Amino acid sequence: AALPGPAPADWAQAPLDPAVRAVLVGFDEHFSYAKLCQALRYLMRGGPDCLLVGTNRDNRLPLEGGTAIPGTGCLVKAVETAAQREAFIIGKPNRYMFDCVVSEFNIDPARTIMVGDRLDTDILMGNSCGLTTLLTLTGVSTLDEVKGHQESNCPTRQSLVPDYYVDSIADLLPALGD
Amino acid sequence: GMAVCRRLSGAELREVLGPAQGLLFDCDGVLWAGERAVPGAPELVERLRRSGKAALFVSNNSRRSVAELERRFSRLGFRGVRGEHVFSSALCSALFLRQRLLGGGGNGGGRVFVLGSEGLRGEVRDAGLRLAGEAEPVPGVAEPVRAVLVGYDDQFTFAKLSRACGYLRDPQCLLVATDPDPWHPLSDGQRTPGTGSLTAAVETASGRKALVVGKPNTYMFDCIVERFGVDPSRTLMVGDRLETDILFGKNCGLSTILTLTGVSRLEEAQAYMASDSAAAKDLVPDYYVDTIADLIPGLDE
Repeated sequence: AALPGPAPADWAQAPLDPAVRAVLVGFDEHFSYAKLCQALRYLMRGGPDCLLVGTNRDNRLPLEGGTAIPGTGCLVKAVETAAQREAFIIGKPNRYMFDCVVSEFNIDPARTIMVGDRLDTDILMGNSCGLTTLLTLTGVSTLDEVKGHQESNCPTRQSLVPDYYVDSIADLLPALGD
Repeated sequence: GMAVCRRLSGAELREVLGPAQGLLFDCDGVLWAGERAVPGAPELVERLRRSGKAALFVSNNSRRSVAELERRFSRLGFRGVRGEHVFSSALCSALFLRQRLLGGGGNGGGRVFVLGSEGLRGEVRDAGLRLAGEAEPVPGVAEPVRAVLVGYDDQFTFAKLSRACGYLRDPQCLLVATDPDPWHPLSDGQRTPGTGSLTAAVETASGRKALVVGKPNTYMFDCIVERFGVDPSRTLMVGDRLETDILFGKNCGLSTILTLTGVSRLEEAQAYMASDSAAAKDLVPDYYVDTIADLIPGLDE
């Protein structure tokens, strides 16, 4: 519904849709304080009966040339902070999406490989779900980061270390038959 | 000593207020709620002045300039409150940035990118700083942005968040927040998001931690001491929010009084008192009152 008036005091009087039972935060380049306001109102009204779900926690989306734009994680954090509660996160490194795959296809984690470019999402999820993990170096994470985690004494950082790496997924071709 | 959250009244009230040289008051939820003064609050402030005690005001609300706040005090019935008595997070953030960007000579200057109200932008300008996006002093010569200031910004957008992150790629660019408040109450019991939620977005995108000017951090008390030279052992802090006002008082060495006309409930203070965590103890006020009007009997006629 359109918001009446220019200020938060007005927005807080806009009617709420009585059917809303969840607030879902995804990537939103039109995110605004007004939307944050409405999200908070639904969460306050519903309490634990209104779900707070975030698609993922990626803090940054890299662009070509080394710049980046803010990721969904920022918007999730804004809502969580205002509402003083934690969102249920669908995306990697949480395991929900893996559970979705497993429920659709009969997967044996011991015979499945997770291939990704990001240690803190792809590799962490793979390791947490008992998959073999393979880092490809065509994306975000570097071998130096891997070494740093390997050499740390921190168990949390150890779970970011992949089982294997390749320079590019094309390097997998020679292992496959004609 | 350990705070015990005792109701302040009777003889003890006179013993506590008697020797006090001054009181620091939070504003929202203490002096007023929305457009209504807390009944008896203007009289308390007047009686403090007549008793020769200082009444100073320290607010995390970064929306209004000091001049706007001065008018608000007057409009809500508080007599004799001058701008110099009012320490808002908008003013103190501007003073902080002035110190960091202009103080100490050398390569000072540079612009500030402000996410916030016109009141906040005005305080930054009044401190002698220039804002990003405003007219260049010399056409074609751009000054670098040396600080991003996050305040209460009801016009916050993804585009502004992205722009802030662009500036913060320079490690020399400061990230400053006016206050940490996650939400503020509205008069009908609803809540509106606070600066803290916007700062969380900027911190997450930039990978940086903001320097937070407002309560419970102590910078605003430093501003008060610099201007008025108050003695913490003879000054009381009065507020409605345990996590900001009472912790601020504790951090600055002030005795603290919780008033129940605002955000925090007495049960929350008691829960902190019963908690095992050392951090929780710092959120327990020394005293509480139902409203600051209850302090009036502690002053001489």
